[in-house]
Amino acid sequence: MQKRLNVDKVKNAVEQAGLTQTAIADALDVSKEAVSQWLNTKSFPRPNKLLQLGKLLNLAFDDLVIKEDPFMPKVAFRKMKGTKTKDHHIEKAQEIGRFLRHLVPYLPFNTLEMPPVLKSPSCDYEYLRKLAVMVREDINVGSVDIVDFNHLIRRFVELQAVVVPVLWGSKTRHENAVHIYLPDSQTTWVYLNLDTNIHDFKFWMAHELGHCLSPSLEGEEAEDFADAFAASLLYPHELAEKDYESIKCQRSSAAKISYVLDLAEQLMISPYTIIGQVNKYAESVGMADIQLGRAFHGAVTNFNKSYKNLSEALFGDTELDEHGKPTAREYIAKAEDGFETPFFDLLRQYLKQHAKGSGFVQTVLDMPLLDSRSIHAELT
Amino acid sequence: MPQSKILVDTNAYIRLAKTIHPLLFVPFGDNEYCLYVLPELNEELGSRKLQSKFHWVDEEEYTDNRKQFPTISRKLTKSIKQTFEYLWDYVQTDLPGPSRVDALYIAYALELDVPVVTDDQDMTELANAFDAQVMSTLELLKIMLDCGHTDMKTIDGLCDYWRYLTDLPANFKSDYQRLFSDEKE
Repeated sequence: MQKRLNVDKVKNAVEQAGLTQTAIADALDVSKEAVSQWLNTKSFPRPNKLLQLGKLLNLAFDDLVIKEDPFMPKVAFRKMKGTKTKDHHIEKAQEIGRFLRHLVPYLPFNTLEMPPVLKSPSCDYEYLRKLAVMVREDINVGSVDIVDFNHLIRRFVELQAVVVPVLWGSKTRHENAVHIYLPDSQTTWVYLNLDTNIHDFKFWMAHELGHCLSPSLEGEEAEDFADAFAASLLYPHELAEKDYESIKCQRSSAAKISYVLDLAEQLMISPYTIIGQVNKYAESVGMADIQLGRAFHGAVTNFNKSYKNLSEALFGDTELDEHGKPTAREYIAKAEDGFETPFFDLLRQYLKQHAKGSGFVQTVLDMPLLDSRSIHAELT
Repeated sequence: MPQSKILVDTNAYIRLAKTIHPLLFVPFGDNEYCLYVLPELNEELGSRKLQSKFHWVDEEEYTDNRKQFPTISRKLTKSIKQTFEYLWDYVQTDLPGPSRVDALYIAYALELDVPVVTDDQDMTELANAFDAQVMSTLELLKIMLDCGHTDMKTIDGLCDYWRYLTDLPANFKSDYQRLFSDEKE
């Protein structure tokens, strides 16, 4: 990253404050030549002097300094329904991305080849239909077979995406998954919140796989494609075509809902994915969509309640404390084994080689300090 | 005499608060030293998802003691925020390691012109880069000892507790030698 003083703003502020270069030099305890070099962008102030200059001129950092980061981390995430992704959420993920850069040298991947990506990803129904067939072949799943977690995990490994399983809570935070792409190293990092309903988690994994395959897309376009891709992969055209008539012929709305919930249970996917895909199929062939009414949302909520969060399922066989919490060792072991992720090994190597403290762990995992301390202690 | 405020970062708080209790908001010594934490510390200690050796932080006697914070005017709050931006940018581009709360502690220390107690090497490096005052937990204990606020028996017990938890501060051996060797004679 290149930084230089915003000379125009500095000169304005200097003029307004009635200061001279000599006065600035005196106030900051540096030579007049040093100030002159800063203002001619021949050198950049040391951090303490930069802060003192900012205070003297009453300039915020972003006003005093122009930053050029051609390799700004690219972030993609969609928050839970009803919540908006705000600038500070993006900024926070970019901060994480800047910290992740330090782990790149430890990546175990083949750096000679690029993983495959889609030429021109689109949300067109026929395109997604073909894509689902192709990706299902790639992950060795038949056209109507169940896509399970292992299929998706394997594909992340093949695509050289680093999965970072995190415990972000189910109520206190709203992010289900965050995708960070580092352009300078062309690496992809996928944060998945384990405190997520098991069906939703599978959807988010497939959604993130969609991002990995479509790095050319950004913003809402990227999110819409990833959503559409996930739904098509988990519940493809062939199933939608077959189930449309079966759902439609159920006599009552309640019977239709019950039928959809049974399908969701069999396929281990969200009932919303099923009804959404069935109706997309109907639209593509010019048939009427299936309306399940308001009762469907309540039924899905009850359906979800009968399943554990992935973290509860994952740590169910481990020794939990009286508050139901696993140890850091268990968390790392389950994350490494279950998700085939090299992340903790990268972190381990970096922390040891650079003698970094738990603050780095706290930022890069965005987890509470005490958890970060426990993870740091376990890794070092 | 006005109070001499000292900020205690989260790691230092965890090292000290169980043994020296109440740790915060109790003036000691002729200089009226008084230890404070930031409100963000409580957020850092909350909502953890993993087992911790420090579950006592949730007990009422400790949470009650963490309810007092330095009084900060609106103007100073704005100034702290501005300083934090400079610190946090430096962390992101030049000194990875300190967390946002670590950087916030240094921003408070600079604006209030008070020292912050930390054993975190990244945070110490950040403080040094910006000319903020820092001291280690052992240096704080030395001040407490000199003021009669604690004694060598307590300090040695505390050091044994850190050893038991495998949580000795960085540079422990040399700092202990430097600060307390005279006390042993």
